[in-house]
Amino acid sequence: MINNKQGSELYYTEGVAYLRAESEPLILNVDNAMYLSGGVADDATVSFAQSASTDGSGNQYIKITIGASTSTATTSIDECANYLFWDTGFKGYHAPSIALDMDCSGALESDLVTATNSGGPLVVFGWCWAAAGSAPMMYGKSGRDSSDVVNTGLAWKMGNGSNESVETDLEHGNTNLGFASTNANRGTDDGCRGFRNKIIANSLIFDNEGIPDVHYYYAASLSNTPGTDCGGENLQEKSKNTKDAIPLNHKLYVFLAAGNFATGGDACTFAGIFRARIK
Amino acid sequence: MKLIRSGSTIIATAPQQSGSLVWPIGIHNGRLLHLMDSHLSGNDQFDIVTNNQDGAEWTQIGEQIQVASTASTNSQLTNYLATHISYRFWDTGVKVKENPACTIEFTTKAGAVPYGNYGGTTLYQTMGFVTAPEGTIASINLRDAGNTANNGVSWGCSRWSTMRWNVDAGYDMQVALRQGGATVSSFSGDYLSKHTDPTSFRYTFRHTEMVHTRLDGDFRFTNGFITVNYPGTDGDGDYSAVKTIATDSTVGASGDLGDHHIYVFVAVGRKAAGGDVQTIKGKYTVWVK
Repeated sequence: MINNKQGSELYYTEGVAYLRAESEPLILNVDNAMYLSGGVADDATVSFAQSASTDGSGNQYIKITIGASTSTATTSIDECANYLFWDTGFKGYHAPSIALDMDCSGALESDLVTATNSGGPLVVFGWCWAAAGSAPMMYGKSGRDSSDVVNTGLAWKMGNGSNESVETDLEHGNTNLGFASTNANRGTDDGCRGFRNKIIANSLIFDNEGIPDVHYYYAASLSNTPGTDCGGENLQEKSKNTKDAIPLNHKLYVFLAAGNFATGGDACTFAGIFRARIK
Repeated sequence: MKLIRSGSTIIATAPQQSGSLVWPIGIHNGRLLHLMDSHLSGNDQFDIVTNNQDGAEWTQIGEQIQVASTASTNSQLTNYLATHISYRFWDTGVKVKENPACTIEFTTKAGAVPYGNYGGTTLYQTMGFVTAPEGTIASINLRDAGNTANNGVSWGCSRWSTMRWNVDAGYDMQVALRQGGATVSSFSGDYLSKHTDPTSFRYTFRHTEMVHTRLDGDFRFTNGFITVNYPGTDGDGDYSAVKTIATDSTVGASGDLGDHHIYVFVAVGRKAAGGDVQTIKGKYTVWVK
């Protein structure tokens, strides 16, 4: 027994053993993506490229060129015009903890979508569980279809035709996206238009009568924008509680997608640094 | 420290190795907490440590950590994070400004030892995250600014979840997700055990926090939640629940606060003075990345 009453006279083992993770967050880039999949709903032309822009640490942006949608737009995360997938190597039985973040706060002004784009360009950053060996197909998937694809993503719509609002929604599958005007706005001044978005999720193993049963359980998102005064305090937090079952051998893919929330508007570009932290 | 799996294999080109599906089921990534890597800290308020049989006894049993907490006396009880009986700290080495996603998981095999003195003097088992300067693990005193402070002298900010065991005759338990100097309160409803034959006390708790550097340079814990899988009355083990916290917890905006490390801690306390020794045993896994 150790006498643990006095904080200053404590038993202490040798040195400090850091629990530090053995790898840094992975910066996603176009070159290490495993698959580019064209969407079948939104008819915009969307392409992904590595931007020459870097942040102060040399991290590169992914630049997304989003054409205007003419007759069909993106109403749910399975309907984007184009998808880029990364294979994380994790499977359902790993029950990983998932964290994704996007930072465009240092992006060049020209990389950010203008307010007056009535098409409502949107980007979706998320993950999906799908059978190994086959590229995920998102369209029409409910997001809870354990026989095929279980997906969740944070969608952000940029500009609403009158101001430079950034509106987010955390959704899955073919559930309609909803963007509220009450969401945090970003400022209008030059140099303060970037923002940061994050998603974090737990998967959990249920002891289902002793049979392994993995569920993607709960996800929370954060969107941090400068606000109309450029103060940077605006935080918008959302959550999703789904308990979607994940087949043990399904693989975890991270995806980045884009499209437009409405038809019309102008072609534009968006650039951000995308990171994945999965363990 | 046992390395379960290399995180560097993300974006793997080869299939991951499959794990044996034994308890706790699946491959657990992240880091197993081990007493050998921790710093033990006591409470500077309680006077229950009067001999070698009092206080809290921490024991490493394979991959599990067992802690037995004595009953307290003199009306001393745990009503804040700062008034637990005994604490263990681990330094993750990860800085606040790295904006890590922080997860700690606790899984039980046999679960809470079903002693009969449930209810009024139940065991509080608390786990979570606290920020403090690098190299100061031995100096963290969560009570150095009083019981109710959200930031202390030796530490910056905390998020924690308390598991309250043996709350009733069915040996059920409850969970609260709190921050800083909040009271130990706002517990969930009962997460039911299967206390009749065949019994099951197998629980899994996964507590996750997001650390964020706001655009104006303010560091804070934002979205926090704890997901739970519990046996339920039929013992099937397919019951689940989630608790969330709505309040952001501010670390601060000073640049040096960004260099503070994220420390993981586990603590035990008692709801009230009296009762008997209670023991909790299980496996802790941490992801701070």
